[in-house]
Amino acid sequence: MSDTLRADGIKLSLEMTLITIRASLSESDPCARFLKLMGENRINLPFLCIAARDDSKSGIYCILSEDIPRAKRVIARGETLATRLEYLPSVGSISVFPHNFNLEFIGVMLSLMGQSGAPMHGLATSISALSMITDFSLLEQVANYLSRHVSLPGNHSPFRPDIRIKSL
Amino acid sequence: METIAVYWEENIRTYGIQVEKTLCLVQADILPTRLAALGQQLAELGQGKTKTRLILAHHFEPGLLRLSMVFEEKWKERLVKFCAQPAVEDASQYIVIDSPVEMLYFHGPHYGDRYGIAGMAGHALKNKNIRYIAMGCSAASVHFIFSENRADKAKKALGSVFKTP
Repeated sequence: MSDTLRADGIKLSLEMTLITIRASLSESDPCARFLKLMGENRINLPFLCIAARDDSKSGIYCILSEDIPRAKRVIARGETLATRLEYLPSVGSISVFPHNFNLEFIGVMLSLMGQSGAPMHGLATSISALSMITDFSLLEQVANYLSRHVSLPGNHSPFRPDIRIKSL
Repeated sequence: METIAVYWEENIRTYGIQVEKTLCLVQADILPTRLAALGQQLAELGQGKTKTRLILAHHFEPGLLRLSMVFEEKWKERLVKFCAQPAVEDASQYIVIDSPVEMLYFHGPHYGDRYGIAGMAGHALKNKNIRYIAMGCSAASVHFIFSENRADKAKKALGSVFKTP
């Protein structure tokens, strides 16, 4: 394996709640209903991951914790939908970039995440970043652990964005 | 200090909707305790210059982390050997290679901060009865994985609701 893997940065998210929905493909799609409901009520999902196999479908959806009270009120109006959701409060994402689609880099990140002892609730690559969902309370600990194994620019430390975009 | 900027767009703009075909999807259900070992195996596979196109993971069932990994189909033989390794088989409760599959993806401005994008995309596909194998949204990217011959139909369906250059 390469002696040192390089990254340009590590970004941490705000606190989020993870919602899981599991369903049979033969039933009315609660994943689609949930997505539609969140969009109609202007609730952002900064991270989501859905997979289907045979006759089942399962997805996770992250919502900023500050939006959860509003989301729960909306979901409660969705009749049967509310009973299908499982909540995992206080998660966050740690994004390492760029991954350059480099499997060695991604494999090492998964391995380090496994070694760190922090739970992996979800993972997705975007065009540039590898984002991993874990417990919010462990984000900085995991970031420090990764930082010890990845070569980052000299003046870089894991950061949280200080500019937020709100969509009207 | 936090700065909040406000964003508004009449039709959701993308930087273009891309389709890739002749891809290979590896789906593996692993015990979370084996993540470090599997990561190590993937890293070793990556040393052979194997590139991935997309990786998604979540707990498909309680206690089982489902990894969905997309590669160019030219790596299929290497992936078959990889999946047959005792260490990989040992880490996986379920592993399957599916090819060819197709991927559709798009990116757009500040997608990670904006509501409604995934819902609009999912709704457009559902309206046309186009099923996907996997979907992932992270940062400014939206990805879908489809069985063969579905991505072009999906692109057409999404093109009717998203603004493309």
